[in-house]
Amino acid sequence: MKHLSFNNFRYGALALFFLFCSGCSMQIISEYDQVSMQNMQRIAKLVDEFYARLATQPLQSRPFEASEADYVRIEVELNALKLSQQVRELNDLTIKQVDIVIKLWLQDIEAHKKKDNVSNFIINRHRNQFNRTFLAMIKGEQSKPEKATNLD
Amino acid sequence: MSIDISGLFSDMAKSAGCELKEGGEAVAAGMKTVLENNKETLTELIEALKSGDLTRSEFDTEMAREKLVLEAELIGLEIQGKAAIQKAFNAAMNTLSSAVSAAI
Repeated sequence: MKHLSFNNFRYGALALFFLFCSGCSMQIISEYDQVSMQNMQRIAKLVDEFYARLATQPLQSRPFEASEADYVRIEVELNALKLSQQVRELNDLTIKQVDIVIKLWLQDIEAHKKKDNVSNFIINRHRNQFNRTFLAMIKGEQSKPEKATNLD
Repeated sequence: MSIDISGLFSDMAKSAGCELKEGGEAVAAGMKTVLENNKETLTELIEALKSGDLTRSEFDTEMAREKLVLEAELIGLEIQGKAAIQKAFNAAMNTLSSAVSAAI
């Protein structure tokens, strides 16, 4: 009898433990956000369009002044993207990626302002760099779970 | 009420393993692409320096930029890895939850 009672107690405790565990879901990364994804893709396209247009200008006719408005517009878009990522929980890694894009973009502004021109080599290089960076951001976002799994 | 504990943990591990396999393959493929991009870029930059398309100062600047791009790519893989681990763990927990519900 004593032995049976101990076994019942053991199974009961195990069941309680499993019940507790079955309610534990883990979240270590932010949930997928459709609006963020769309903004990432839209800004990637803006940047690519910028370089494509710049490349069509004759080599000695790429003054900074002609591109200044576009530089500012895209800088504002990137800052808005960063802001929207900062309000999401568990989203530090994506924020780091956005920070990298902003850093690269600001470097481009400074370099173009200083030289008042951009070579074909740099246009191609930097266009490729931004494509790769945005692709990494988009792939990261795409891999995020749709919603945190809440076990009932 | 009876729960086959060892069977249950085996099922949980299988659920987690399936999710991890898919996520792990994506990360491995991504890593390969990142390394190939990096190799291609370094080759291009060195050639540009040799041919005079880039000054030494410009080469250094471009190398620094490449490091940032590589960092962004590796962060992307980290995100994918974390998402895969989360999915795997929660799949295992789902298996546990189903088993407990069936047993009670």
